Amino acid sequence: MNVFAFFNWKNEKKLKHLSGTYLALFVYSFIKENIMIKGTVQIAREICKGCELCIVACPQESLHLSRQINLRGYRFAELKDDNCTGCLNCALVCPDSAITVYRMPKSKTAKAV
Amino acid sequence: MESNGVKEVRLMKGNEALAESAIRAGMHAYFGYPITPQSEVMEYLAEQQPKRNFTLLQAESEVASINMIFGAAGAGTRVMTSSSSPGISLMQEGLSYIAAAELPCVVVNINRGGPGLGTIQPGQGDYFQATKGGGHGDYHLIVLAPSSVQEMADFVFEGFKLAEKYRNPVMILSDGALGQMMEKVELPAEGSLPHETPNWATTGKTKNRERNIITSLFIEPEVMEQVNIKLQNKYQEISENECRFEEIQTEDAEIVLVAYGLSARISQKAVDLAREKGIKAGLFRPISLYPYPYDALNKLSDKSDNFLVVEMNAGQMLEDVKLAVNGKKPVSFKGRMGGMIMNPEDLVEEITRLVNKTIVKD
Repeated sequence: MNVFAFFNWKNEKKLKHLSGTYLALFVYSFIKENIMIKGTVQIAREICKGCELCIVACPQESLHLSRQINLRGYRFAELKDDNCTGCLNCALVCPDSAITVYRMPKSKTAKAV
Repeated sequence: MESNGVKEVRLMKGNEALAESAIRAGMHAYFGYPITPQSEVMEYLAEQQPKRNFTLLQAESEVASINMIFGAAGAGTRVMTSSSSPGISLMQEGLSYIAAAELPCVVVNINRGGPGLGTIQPGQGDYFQATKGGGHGDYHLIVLAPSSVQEMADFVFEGFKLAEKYRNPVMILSDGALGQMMEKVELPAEGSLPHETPNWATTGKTKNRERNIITSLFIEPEVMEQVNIKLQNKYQEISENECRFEEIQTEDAEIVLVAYGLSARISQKAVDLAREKGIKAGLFRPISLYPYPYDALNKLSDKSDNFLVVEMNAGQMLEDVKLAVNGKKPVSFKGRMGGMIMNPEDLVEEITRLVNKTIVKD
């Protein structure tokens, strides 16, 4: 606080807010890159029937229905973002067991879950 | 397509006038199935098909017809089908899907006596089915009711215009007599309704656009609700802008007949006969059955003292008239069922009875 009083800036509040934001961003990306579990999913295109249960179940909201259709005429689910955490929600809820989940722990070798 | 700009006057049967008008409106395809009293629509089209430019296919059933319509409309083409009461019942699921997917098309119902397999004579028993649903879900068809062979021809153009403007299926609710009778008709000019393939249609994905998807499945309820809200807003817009009706001698009428289609033609004669007898009768003829002209009818109930609904059914449009009049004046009903048609003289008798009853009351 004394430091800011010394500089006597008009947008002192804005500077505080900016600093806070930069800090938060730094902490966030640190966690994301180094601590958060990363994962990915493989959804069997021809088995998926586009029921959207996995899309609703995903806590990261990383799944969506493709614009393409599979051989049976269904739009299939696919990843739209790369922030999958390998939490398994989608695979557990899929009624047709169409999803395989890969989770990469800190050792950085992917393990099928 | 160049327009030769020439209007043509011919003596034609209702079904054939409808078919000829559809060709002139630039219909790309017709998928149908025969059923009396509308088989002549497809027969006429089949006879014309080699010399004119459209696709004609007799499907294996009405269920197949309406689903072909769904596919073709989704691909952005101008399509029409026609059937009669039992066949229209078979099309209800398809119509619900078409409305949900917001596709344009024209479906013609040449109403015959029912229920069930019924009879082949004219009826108006499909009013509820046409205007209140018929298929499942919160949707509406825009419904136009012709009452002459001329209107059979004109409403095809109107139907395509409305269907494409609002991306909604349109039903032309006619009946067996209008389909079979012959009258003078001035056919509209060929090519006077140009067609542009819409940008939402499945015409084949190219590099410069996203893939188009036509569907009526919205499995997440949050999304389905939004679709429903969008449809309801559309129907609100249609109700505000597309109400059509005709009023004949209603300015000083003490009794107003309310009728559509063939019943309106008969009622018109009854009004003339009643006027000759000194009774001030008038006719309110709704042309759009959805959206129904509630407001216009409501205004009329401020002036006239009596309403007589005339229909070839057990009393279906009667309910809408009662809603419109809203208890202000008495609403009576005269109907025939099972394919029977009322006489103008019977109507005049009923008019006289109602007017005298009112006088006696006073």
